[in-house]
Amino acid sequence: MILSTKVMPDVIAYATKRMYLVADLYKEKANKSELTGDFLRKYPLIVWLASHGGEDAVIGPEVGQTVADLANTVWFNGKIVVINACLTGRKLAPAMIDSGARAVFAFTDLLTIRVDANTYEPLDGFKECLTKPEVLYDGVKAKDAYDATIAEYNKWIEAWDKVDPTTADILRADRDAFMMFGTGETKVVASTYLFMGLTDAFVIAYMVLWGILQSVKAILPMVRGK
Amino acid sequence: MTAEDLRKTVAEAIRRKGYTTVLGNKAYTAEELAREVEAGTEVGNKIIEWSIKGTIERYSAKK
Repeated sequence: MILSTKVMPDVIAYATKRMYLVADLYKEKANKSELTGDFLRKYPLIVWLASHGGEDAVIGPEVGQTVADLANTVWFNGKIVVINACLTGRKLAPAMIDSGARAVFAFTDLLTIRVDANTYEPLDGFKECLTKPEVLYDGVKAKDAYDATIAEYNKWIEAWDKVDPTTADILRADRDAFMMFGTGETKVVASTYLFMGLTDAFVIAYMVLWGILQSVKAILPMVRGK
Repeated sequence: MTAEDLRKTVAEAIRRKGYTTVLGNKAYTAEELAREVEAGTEVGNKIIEWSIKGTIERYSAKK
């Protein structure tokens, strides 16, 4: 719940600002049918899985439902995957790499988040670290996105060491569990997302110009008639 | 410092700050997490393990 309502909207906003088309499979949409449908229709370049996890699966909101597990790792062939879920770095992420994923970011131990007791807002640093791999949308290589995330963890650990060492220690545990699998050289090719962005911009510009042209066509005979 | 002292110190630090901790599939209030630490449960031991690692890293950084 913290991940889906307090953390991931930031990633969606980041990607959207960079003109990526984002499909958000939230709550009841977080299931294998929706996932495979989206993969077939849109062919995503980067996939974020943010939920509860185990060594071999990312779990959906329904009891017994999995979104990704060892049976569907081949769906992630050719994609960069960021998994914000406990323990998935132990079996699921390596299995995705074996099935052809370009790079997978995942946690090999428990993913722990500290939140404000009243608002449930993540404490400073937790959201920033979990969302840091979003720099992938800027065309950054996977290994550089990983390094940037570790640097972000270290920055917040240092800050929390002065205020509350227990919180710093939890961030340390998250940092030490955060791993990158696959080739670090992979990145989202700039031309791919520029094309997608330009396509959107072109469609909007075309519709606006077409609307103006139709208005002129409609008004011109009336002006001439006067 | 005995293991019991360490548990009490960590539990007290958790209570003092009052933050909620989402660990695994469960959200622990500060009081609940402090009790886990004092009782030496699996979750409590995890927190102690992280505290020891953190203390070593802090000490190494100061040297």
